[in-house]
Amino acid sequence: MAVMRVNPNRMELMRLRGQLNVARRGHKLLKDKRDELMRQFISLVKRNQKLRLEVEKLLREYNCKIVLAQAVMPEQVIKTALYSGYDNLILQAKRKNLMSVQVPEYFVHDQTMLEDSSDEKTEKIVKAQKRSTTYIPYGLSGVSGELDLAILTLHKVLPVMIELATVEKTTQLLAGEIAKTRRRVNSLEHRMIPDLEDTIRSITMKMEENERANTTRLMKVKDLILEKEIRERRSRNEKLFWKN
Amino acid sequence: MHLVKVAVIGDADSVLGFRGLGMTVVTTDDPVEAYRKIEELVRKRYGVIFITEDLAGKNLAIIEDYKEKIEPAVILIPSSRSDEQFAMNYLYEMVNKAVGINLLKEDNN
Repeated sequence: MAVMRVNPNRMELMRLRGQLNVARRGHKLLKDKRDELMRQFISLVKRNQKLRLEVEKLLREYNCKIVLAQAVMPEQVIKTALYSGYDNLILQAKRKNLMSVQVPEYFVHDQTMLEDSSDEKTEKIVKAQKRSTTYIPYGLSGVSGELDLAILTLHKVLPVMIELATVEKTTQLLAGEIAKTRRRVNSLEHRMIPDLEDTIRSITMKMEENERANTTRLMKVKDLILEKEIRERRSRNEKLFWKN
Repeated sequence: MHLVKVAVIGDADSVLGFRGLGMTVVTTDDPVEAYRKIEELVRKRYGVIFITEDLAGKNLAIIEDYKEKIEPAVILIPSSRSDEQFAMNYLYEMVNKAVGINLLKEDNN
């Protein structure tokens, strides 16, 4: 029980009552928010786990294949082959609003939008893009087929990895939001609301006490006045009596 | 909507192949250097950065520092060397912290 240090008067009482009302409403809202976040989080996490398992499986497959490739070719050849392409994989990133948390969404940059127009300049871009995203970025002569297989496996992983990136980032952001909301709910529930209630009770009690003290004081004063009056009347009567 | 580039960081054996997909590949074995490289990539506006889990496992700041930010997404991938399940455990831990109980482990067993 913790009572705040405030003056026990009506003004404060009204202020605190307003605060308590707001706190209760906020607590209810935040609790609902937390529950809904949790619900979304759980389904996301399950998807995250599934995607991660899949990525791990596919990458293991890729690792097996790249080891084979390394076995039949010198490392230099592999390196040269791989570094001959461009590094221009570009993703589209969208922002989504999930329970007032901004989360990203990634897609493979699709070129269909570009292909529609027949502009010469765009065509060039399309060609360049197509060239850069053809399956295998290196010349086929001098490189053995094992490396092609490995790269093709990687192409299978790419969409899963991108989805994993979306889901995992969303999960991370949601986890942070849940932690924040939970802290807020707890601090309202266990600290702010009880404190306010205690303070309000103590103020009411103090005010009632003051009221009672005031009443007794009034009664006492009334008695004193009456006594004085009685004494005065008595002495006046006595004087009158002796005059007669 | 905007466009972002993709990078991979890790030891050469695990990540070199991603170059074949058009990702930017950064090879390093040193967790501290990896952190610096990530900072560099973030400055160059890379939106998605994949990092091998054994590198991230040795320097948790790599993931922790970007966890609360929308961009970039720093995502763990398994490396060819170790099979330590760090990424999965990290996910479990995150769930544990957020929800208070572990929802996923039972599914696995």
